[in-house]
Amino acid sequence: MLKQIICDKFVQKEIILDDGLNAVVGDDIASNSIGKSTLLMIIDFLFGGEDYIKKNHDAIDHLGHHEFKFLFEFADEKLYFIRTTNEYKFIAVCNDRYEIQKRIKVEEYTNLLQEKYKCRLEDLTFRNIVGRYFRIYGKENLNERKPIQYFEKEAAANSIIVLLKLFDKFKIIKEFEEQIEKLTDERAILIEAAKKDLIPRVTKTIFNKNEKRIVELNQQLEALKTEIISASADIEALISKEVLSLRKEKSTLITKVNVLKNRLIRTQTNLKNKNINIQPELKQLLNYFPSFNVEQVEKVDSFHESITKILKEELLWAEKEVKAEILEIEKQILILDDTINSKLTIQNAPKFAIDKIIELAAQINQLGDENGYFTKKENLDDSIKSATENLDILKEKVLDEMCSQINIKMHEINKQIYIDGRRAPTLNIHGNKYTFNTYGDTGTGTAFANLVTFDLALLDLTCLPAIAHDLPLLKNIENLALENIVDIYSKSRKQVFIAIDKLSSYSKDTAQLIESCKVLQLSKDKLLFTKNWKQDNQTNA
Amino acid sequence: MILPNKLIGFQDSIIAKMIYILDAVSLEDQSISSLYNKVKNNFEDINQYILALDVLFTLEKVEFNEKAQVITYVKTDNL
Repeated sequence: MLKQIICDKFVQKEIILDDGLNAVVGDDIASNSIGKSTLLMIIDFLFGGEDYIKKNHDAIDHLGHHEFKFLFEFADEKLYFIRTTNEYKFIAVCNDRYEIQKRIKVEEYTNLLQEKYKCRLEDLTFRNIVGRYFRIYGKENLNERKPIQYFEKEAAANSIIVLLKLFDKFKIIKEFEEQIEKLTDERAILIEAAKKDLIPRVTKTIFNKNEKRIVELNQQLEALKTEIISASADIEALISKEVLSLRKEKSTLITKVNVLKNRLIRTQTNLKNKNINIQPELKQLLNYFPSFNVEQVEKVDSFHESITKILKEELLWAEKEVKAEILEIEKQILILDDTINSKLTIQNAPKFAIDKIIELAAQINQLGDENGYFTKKENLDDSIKSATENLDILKEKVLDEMCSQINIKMHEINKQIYIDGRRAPTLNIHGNKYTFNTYGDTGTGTAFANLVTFDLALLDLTCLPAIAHDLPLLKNIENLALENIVDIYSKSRKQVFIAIDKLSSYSKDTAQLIESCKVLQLSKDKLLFTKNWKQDNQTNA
Repeated sequence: MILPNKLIGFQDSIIAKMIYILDAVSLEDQSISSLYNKVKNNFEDINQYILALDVLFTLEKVEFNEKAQVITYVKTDNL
């Protein structure tokens, strides 16, 4: 809780605040420009806001840079800080004598407050919680028809999300949305990959065609498998028999060619007609066979020479013939070799079948993959569709729950504000749009009272730590209603900061109540700051 | 191949083949070429025919008349 504000530019240097209602009170003549809104803006500044710098810079223009010493108290813990208009992005953490210990960034500071106020919510900053419900003149959240709008251009969808976050109901939706986002991303990647031909583009028609083809290919594959088993056995038996007979044939031919080659050698020897000197052997022979006709034997050579000379033509012819025959047979042997080899390569038949099987399997795989992408995309589409539907249902349910919670609470509060039983305002959210009004009542005062009712409901239902209601909100509300509102404010355990004046126009009880909650009284003669730049002749304290 | 043995049968030996030459030359003298033409069907090839003539010459069963260029049969008294 904000407990103390000290500023040496203030007329009243120190302002002490308390739990519940804290009223900045103006005078009975409703004097303007005395600092009521400015103080509320300063409170917002001390809660981490920047509007005091941006929207109230006239204060700095005229006063020069100044600083605020302030104290937050949580349970038994007291936290002393200084924030200057000069270095407003930083906060000085102090000891109890406001001696600076260290400087921290505003974000760190608001995180600290969020921690201490125990309003840590998923994805929702402290400013986004508090800032929205500090409704101070100059800020853009005073639209009585748009209670959840933070600034004028904020889209209703975003305001709704923040409200959901404040009710801590966004987490479950976010999980859903993240899931959808993930699925959508996945689908986008798949589509993109198909576009870039990284994966095949498959339509429903192609998918069906592929499915049919896969069945066909599988049948072929099965047929081939059985064929291979029976065929391989048959082929082996057949081949060995045939090859055997061919080999037999070949070996006959080889024998034949050998004979012919021998004959060729003999023929060529005869053609050369060489004399063989057999004299020594013949002489030795005579030793054992004295009657042996050596002369006759010696004549054989010359006889042989004579007849071979005569038969030269025939010998040449025979040589030619034998050579031709040898060639022919060798040719046949080569043919046989080829035949045998080709018969043996029939053994590659299973290899061929295996190649075919691999090809078929690859085709089946490829088609399966293609269809896999299609199926995946279909599944993604389905998942996204159902998740989106579920999200819509969930969102509606969550929003309905939240609205009904708020509406019930507003109804309760409204009963306290309008004891004559007037209708309570209702918040209705449909998708990304919402309405906030009282059925059948379009009065300005009612509209502002509704806004107050709404904030009070949130103050009660959520961890929202404090609210601030500036005079423009309150002054339009009829007295009786406002008196009841003040009563409700005063009963709040959380801090409520209001700016109010003309206390004499309210009932004695209400005036007294406000008086008791008054943290600062301002008037034409007692301004917030020591300097008045709204008038030509400036007053210095 | 001149004499029959366990690899060469009598019919294929030169001894047996010589008969065809002797049958031809015993009737009349034969020129070497015409004799060859008459008997070549009985011989494996011309080399075998030459060998048969060589053997017959060695055994003095035929003679070669160089002048007439013919083979003549040598008649022997079998008595």
